[in-house]
Amino acid sequence: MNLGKSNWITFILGTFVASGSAFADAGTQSEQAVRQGGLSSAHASGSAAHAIAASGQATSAIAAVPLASGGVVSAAAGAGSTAVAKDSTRAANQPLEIGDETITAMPPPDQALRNKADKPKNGI
Amino acid sequence: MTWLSRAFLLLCLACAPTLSAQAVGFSGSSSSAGEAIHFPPEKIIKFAKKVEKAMATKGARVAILARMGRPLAELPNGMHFTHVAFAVYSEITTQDGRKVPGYAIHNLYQEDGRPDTSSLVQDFPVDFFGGVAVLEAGILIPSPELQQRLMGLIGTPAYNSLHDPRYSVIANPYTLGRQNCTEFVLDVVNSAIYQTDDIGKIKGIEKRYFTAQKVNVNPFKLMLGSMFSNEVSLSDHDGEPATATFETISDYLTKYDQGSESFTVLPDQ
Repeated sequence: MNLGKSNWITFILGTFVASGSAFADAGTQSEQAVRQGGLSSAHASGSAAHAIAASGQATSAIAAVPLASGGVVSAAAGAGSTAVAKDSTRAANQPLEIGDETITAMPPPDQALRNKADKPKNGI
Repeated sequence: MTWLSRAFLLLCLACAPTLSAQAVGFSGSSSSAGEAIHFPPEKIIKFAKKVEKAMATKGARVAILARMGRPLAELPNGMHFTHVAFAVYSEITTQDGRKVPGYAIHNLYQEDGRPDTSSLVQDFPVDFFGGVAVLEAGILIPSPELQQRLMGLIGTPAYNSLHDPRYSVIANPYTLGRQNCTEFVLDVVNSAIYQTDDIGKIKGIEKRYFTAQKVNVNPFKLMLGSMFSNEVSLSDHDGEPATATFETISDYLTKYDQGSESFTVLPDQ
């Protein structure tokens, strides 16, 4: 195959444009899968955090404090004080209680509306 | 300028928009606020709760949790999970004032719009899995002794001091200057094991005992990626690039932390 200069450039650019399109396909297929799963297209185009918050199935949290076994925590060298709640009812390796409620770092809509800039990535 | 150099220049310019870390074959550590959703929310909620219950059943106060931000077929050989973080059993206060037990996830996330910069972010399992491409979780539960040490460290000033905000998706775990989520987790684990926050000492330990995963990506593609994508950097690599992964951290703890356990969780069929 004998390609001229301009044809070479076209060929190389075409190859890379095609490879870029291949990466874009993953998102398109995923969005299609979501739509087929019964979600609105508005959710498919939004962020995951917003879609989960909009589902109304998750409760917003305002704080989380580690629950240590027996309340005994050994601090690493140089560590400052750690806020740790005491859970004296269970020793290490014993099954822990988990409820069925889903907790999210996303604020509820009324609070998000009050914020000047909604920054859910910062968690709580 | 010869036609060949012109072609190369044009090629580089054409590649620039597509040579993100994803094009190189990696997925960074983004929060769900910056990621598209790939599954209906109810599926993600159900899966995240299954993962929480799997950790709770084992009595895990602290676990290392991994997710798949991209399909396996798009990742380089040797890579499986794309983001890891600490899951800490916590007392969670809800917006309406109730206190419920559950896991809080302590992450190193890339900042939205600044992919070469990271920050420490706490969220919850449903947020952690919100943007995954595959519903599969990796769980590494350290021994009770290491869990206790980690619990005493996570969230403290010493923990924060181990964070380097200069992000690279392929950060070298043996050097300073760039850090990704896996290197941060490894640094925190070794800080807890050796009860030190001296990062120089921690890097020495990692050079001696930790085996990183070779980055199996075409060197030319990697070089272009580092030129055009802020989240890919070769500045902290001397020779063949290598990085920490969930699997290599699991291998490390399985070898040196007797009583640690690693397994995966899949969704119900």
